[in-house]
Amino acid sequence: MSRENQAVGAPPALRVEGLHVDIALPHGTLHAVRNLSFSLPRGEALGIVGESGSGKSMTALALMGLLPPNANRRAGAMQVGGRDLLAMSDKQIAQDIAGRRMAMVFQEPMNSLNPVYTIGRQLTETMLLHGGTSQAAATERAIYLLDKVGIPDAHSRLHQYPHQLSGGQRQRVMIAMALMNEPDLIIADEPTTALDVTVQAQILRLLSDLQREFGMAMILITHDLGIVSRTVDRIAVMYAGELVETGSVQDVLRGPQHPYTRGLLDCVPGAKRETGRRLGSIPGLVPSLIGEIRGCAFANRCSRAGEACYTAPPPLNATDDGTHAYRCVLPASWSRSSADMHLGELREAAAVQQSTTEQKPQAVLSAREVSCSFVVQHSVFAKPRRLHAVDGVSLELMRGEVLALVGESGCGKTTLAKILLGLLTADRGQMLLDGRDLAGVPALERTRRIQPVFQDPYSSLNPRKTIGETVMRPLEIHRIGTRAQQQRRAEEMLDLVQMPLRLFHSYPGQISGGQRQRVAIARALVTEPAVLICDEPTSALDVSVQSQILNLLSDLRDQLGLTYLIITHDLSVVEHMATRVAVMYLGQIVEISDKDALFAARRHPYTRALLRSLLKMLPGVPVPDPSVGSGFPNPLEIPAGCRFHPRCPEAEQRCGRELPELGPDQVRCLLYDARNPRWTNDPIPA
Amino acid sequence: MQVMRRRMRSHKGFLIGAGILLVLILIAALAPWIAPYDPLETKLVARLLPPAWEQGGRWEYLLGTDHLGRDYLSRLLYGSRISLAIGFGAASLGCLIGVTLGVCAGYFGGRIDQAVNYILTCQLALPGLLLTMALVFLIGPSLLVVVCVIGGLHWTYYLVVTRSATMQIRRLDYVTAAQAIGSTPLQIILYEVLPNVRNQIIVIFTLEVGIAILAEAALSFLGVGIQPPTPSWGLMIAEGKTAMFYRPWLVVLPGLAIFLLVIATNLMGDGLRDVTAPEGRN
Repeated sequence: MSRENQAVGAPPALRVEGLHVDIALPHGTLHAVRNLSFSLPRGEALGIVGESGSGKSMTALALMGLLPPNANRRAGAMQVGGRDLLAMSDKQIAQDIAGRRMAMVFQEPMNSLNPVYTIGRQLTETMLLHGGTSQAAATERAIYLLDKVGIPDAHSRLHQYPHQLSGGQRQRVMIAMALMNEPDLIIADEPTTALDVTVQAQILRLLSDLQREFGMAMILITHDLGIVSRTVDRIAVMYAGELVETGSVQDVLRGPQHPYTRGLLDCVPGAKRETGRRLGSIPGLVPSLIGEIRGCAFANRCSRAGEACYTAPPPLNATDDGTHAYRCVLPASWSRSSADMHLGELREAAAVQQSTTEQKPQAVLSAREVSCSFVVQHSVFAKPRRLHAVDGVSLELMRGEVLALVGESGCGKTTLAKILLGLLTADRGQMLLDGRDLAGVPALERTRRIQPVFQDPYSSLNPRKTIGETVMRPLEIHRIGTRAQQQRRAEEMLDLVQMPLRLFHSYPGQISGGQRQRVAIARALVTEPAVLICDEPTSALDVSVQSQILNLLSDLRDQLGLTYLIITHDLSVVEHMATRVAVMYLGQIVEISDKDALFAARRHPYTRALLRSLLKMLPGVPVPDPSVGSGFPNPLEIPAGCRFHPRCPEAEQRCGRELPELGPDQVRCLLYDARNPRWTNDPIPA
Repeated sequence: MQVMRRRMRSHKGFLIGAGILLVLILIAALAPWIAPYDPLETKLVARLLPPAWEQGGRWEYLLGTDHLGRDYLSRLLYGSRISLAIGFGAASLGCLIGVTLGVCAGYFGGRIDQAVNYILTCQLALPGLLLTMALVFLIGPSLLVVVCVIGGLHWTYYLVVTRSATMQIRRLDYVTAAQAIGSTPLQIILYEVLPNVRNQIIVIFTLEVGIAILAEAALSFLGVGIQPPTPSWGLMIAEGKTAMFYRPWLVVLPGLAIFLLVIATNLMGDGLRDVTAPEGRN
């Protein structure tokens, strides 16, 4: 059933007017959502985009009636399929609306299924709970939907427990569960954030397909502009609890009107195929949502803010045809005048990159045939099994380069990083630092040369130590300089990472996530290391903060001549930062190549699958099929032959028998042939 | 820090507990100056006098006298010294043992953790009071012995709490960062781990002070704790128990003193737990 078949004048799937969500906190009232109005026609998909704290999740919870007890919801109108939610009691909503007319898919598939019940019971329960259905009919529908969401052998899966499924499969079950009662509206809150990239593409594709097939309306909440550009019809951009811009995907992403939307788009790495350029960034912080904001909420970060922006709330402007609305004083044409300004200035010192590659490159840190395995024993009586986390990895980190290590979760990239940092000892293999065997280098000397930057800025700083103490600590450990010298050096480092010195005596709890990450970088750099090993340095940060940190890392590399190993699953970060890429799968390196070569032509089938899963901002282009098996790599059960062959779309019979080697082309694939045009002349589809 | 101070000021239980404790500490410190008599001075002509407000009481002996004619008020005031010394002494010793074992078990894990858990299981299986009595009996009673024996047997709470807290902290990135800069395990424990379990330790410490005071009272009551004529509240109850039915104040007054001290430490412990709880978990 398609959209056109709907009767004209039928009520929209969802209409919200003047929605406010206030949260009572001990020191004031936090206005999480302020005066939000939108309507969603049947069968349409709306993407709500915003950074953390923008109120997008609160909006979803308010719609579902799942707000925390200290939150208060007010609205002018809230209608689902023409039925007024405000006129209904909580009990009525729970019976007739929630889970029935609208359903929700949550972010964490690990936590949203109850581990003690079979998935069959959890699926049928959602239907039986509302009454009027027999067990047999519910079971039949459960099997039908499991099949629909791409879970093979659905009938026998009903008796399985959540822990027997992979993360991607659990999210599929969650989607099936949301569809059990044939809802008119499905709300997906960051449905793929916790998943690997290939699985993310599969799940998003599935969601879009099902949404069209069942003619449902969908609200997709995400912080990822690439995802919305590929899955929804309309976009709503939220900032500080307000809707700042709304319109069709094409209009908003191609011609953003609100300065915030423009800023956000400039922050996305890899959106424009221009490396060597700085990413745009949005200076400043989101204003406190406690108390009233008199003018425009974005005024304090907006480069074009005038006096009026601080005093009066901005008007709701619309472009010519009226479908594209934004809340800003600027006229609709302002952006056209400066169309290409937002590409960002060319990075001045990009020359560093060239000069170091022209000289004979020297390996700073290299791993030779490094292996590391753990013994896993699930219970006292179970047979202990060996988990080969890293298996015969050879890697050279050249001076001045940015090597990206890419792979899905469980592929051993974090273990490899720990070995390189000296936090884990390899079972086999040799590590060289500046050509010297690392086993013979004293620990303190090694730690001065190689330093880590972590993913989670909230756990990487000791909450009981001030910023200054944290940055000075490495100098104390290494007994460098007097107390006064250490303090001066720490101040220099904070200055280098653009941290205001007045925060020297602050505790980590008093600063933002981006600032914490800056402090973590300052701590890593204070002993003047040659190599930084960054484990997902930006994936826990908001888009606008992520771009600031990536810019900072680029600048520091140019200033200090650092060498980076960046571990990430985010290919857009790779595209922006890296000079060389190593792809890892199940403990092995499957491909090493220059970044440009990697993005230019297909090489290893797994790399290709990863690249196809990369959701660039391309409005209107549907989510691609990564064409890779959905089975997740399990390091406890390593397949015979090529490790990737069970998921490989190109696999032939011999792939299950023979072991591929990392050949002279640096591609671990039996089928790869550099001279065959089938492999080299096939650019990655956009 | 400022948040904590503000929360302390508005927490009634904490203020009351801390207030009482402060007064008792002052009394213990100033006992020689505020006590009207020498607590050991016997006056057989004035035996078993009731408190001043009862019939037959005399105002120069405000809380009456005991069976040897010693001033009961002075003995109570001096008794606070013993109780506090044992309370804080034993709790500190237990803290040292429990925190050391707990942090080591939590930080190093593996074999060390198993060994510590074995010790813990053994300790929990021992009949505490019986063992305390046996030890004091064997070594001979003195203030130091009582402190050591009580402290040496009351460390399980510290261990359990610090062990699990350390295991959590150990997984955090700032510990990994410390390892990656070359800190030794001892440096990590002292600089990264302990400051973050400090609050939990303080809470348990105050609760343990109360438990140790009760243990001392019980020991002294049973005759294997503080030896006469040293004034100890537990001992005073023991000495008074023969005359309990017709001279009830001999038991009630030291009992009240013990109750007051223990409730003060517990109130303060509970208060500290609330005050130091992370944001929004009250």
